[in-house]
Amino acid sequence: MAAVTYLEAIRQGLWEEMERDPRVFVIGEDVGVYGGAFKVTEGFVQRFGTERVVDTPISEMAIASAAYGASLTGLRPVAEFQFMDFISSAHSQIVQILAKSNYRWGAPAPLVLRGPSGGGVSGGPFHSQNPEMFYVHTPGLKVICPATARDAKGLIKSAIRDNNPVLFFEHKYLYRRVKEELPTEDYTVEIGKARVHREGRHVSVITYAAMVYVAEEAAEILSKEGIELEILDLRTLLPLDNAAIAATVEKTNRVIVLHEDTKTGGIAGEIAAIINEEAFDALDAPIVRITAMDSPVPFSPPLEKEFLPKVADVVREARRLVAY
Amino acid sequence: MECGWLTAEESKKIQADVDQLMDEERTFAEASPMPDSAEAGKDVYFDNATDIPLKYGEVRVQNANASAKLAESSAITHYK
Repeated sequence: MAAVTYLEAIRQGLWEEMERDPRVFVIGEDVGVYGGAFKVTEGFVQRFGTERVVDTPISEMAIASAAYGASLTGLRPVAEFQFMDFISSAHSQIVQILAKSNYRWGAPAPLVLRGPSGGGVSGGPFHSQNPEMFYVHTPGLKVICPATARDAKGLIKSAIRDNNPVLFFEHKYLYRRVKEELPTEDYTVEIGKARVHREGRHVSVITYAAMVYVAEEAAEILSKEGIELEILDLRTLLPLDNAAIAATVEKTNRVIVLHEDTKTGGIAGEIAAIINEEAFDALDAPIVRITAMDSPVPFSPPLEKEFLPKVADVVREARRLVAY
Repeated sequence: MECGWLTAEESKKIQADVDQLMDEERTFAEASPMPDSAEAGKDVYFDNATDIPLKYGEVRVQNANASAKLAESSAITHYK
């Protein structure tokens, strides 16, 4: 069985869901003939035709609105944004209409909005952002940020089968960098459940998406010093798996929350509050946040490198917590 | 009405129908009890165990090709 990249895993998940369920279709800029900016839907139009692989004008608002309208008829659209940075152009439709459709009108909106986010590729301030927290703050949505190929496939399938609007943030740095063998049978990964990526007993690193691998590199370095990091991959940011967060804190008693999003208003603050409410007595040291700077994402490679959280940051803070 | 797409009678009937519907809904709302406060925060999500039916019948698709298989995507030249 060959290893499959994160990107191929998403392609497989989408393809299999379209084969399984005629209600599923994809819509977005260049998803048809061109196959998507990152080739996630390459070959789809040849298989499913132009009625289920719909090219649109360059308007995220129109894409989100068309997807919403289709979902109201019982279809299950999967809308692609070429870069999740531009989801802001559809912000009003997503937070005002999609998120509140069931609550306000009793009209469920089973749709997925997906696309690449994140930095590390010198994409500059308009093609590298992590805009997930705008939507984590919006009740009625579900927000997914997978880190592995297995989770990417299992979660895109769950997102498509979900009866609610789901935002699916794919980390573009991981698209062709991470690979693994996937189950041959149909499988899904439950939305709202975190996963222990690496077992450890000294410090918990609570993280998601590409930062899982930063934590992993730090864990390798620290293991040589006898410090064992536990890495909790959140996988879903809304709804958050509070029980898994509390469980890892109760196990290690020391916590780093690591994310690529900027610090102020990032999910690290929310997680610190959850720990305060649900596992405060288990803490032996202050909660540490390691995040990107409160700045737009720089284009220049050395500036972006400085902007993003680094392995050295995790190593330094873990040592400090153990010595605390 | 200038274009002949709607007669004066049809326009009056539409307005009367809307007025009647609004009256009925208002009467129903005013006669109903206020919601139980325990219902606040419910129905944020729709139940996943409930099937959402298609509104306009089965999906019919033209120009699909069931024999086409998923091939590996081609490499891209930007954002490798």
